[in-house]
Amino acid sequence: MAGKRRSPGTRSDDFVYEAVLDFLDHQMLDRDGTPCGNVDDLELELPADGSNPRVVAILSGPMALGPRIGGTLGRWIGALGKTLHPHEFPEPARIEIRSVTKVGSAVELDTLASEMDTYRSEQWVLEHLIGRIPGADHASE
Amino acid sequence: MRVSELLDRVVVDSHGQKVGKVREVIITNGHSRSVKPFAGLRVDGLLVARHGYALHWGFDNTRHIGPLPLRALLAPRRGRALFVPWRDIATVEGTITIKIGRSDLKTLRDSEDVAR
Repeated sequence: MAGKRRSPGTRSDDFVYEAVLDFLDHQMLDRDGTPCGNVDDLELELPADGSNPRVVAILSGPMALGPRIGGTLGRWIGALGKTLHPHEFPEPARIEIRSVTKVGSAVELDTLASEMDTYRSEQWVLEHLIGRIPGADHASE
Repeated sequence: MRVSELLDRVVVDSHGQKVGKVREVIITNGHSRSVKPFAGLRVDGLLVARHGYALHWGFDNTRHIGPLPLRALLAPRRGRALFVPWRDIATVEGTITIKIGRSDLKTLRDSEDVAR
């Protein structure tokens, strides 16, 4: 029942969400229903005029999850994400919030998983690490 | 800024009195009828409470029903969460300072009564 409550100051037709309850750690699904990562954080943009911050993107992957968890475990997760990332200056996978079509038990997107950074990182790990494990090509058998 | 940078931050009122910690970030959509309904999401305010476990487990008065013993234990604590509208926030660097006193803030339960 995400997005049904109201808080003071919102109009009757406004949808209201709770960032932690409705977004964080939810599975993302692409437009074909394929799982394409989790929501690990939300990026906010603070307007210069001091008005309410806008939610501009979903952040996904260990480099978003690590800082959120914090502590030794968070640093370890973030460092692992940087080590395994295919780019020289790695950043968390960023999905524009306008790509979201529905928020419920999962966050549904209008993009394809193959077009997303989460997919490219996953493919890199598959090719460079998992694929080199003896017998990995028979994993589905 | 990220949502996670707001969570668990200490909130202090205009008198320097500690209100609690940020437990939830309320976001609203002012363009719910547009073609891209989530493009206009903005932060509406913060839920601030001294204890966060009832909020994190999703127990409140309207959205989740059972089990009854757990709900009876946690729902009153959820009701003590205070809603801080973003317009009442003075600074977000380090400790979050609000422009008004703690007594001027509404509880979540009061806020829901207002919204009904």
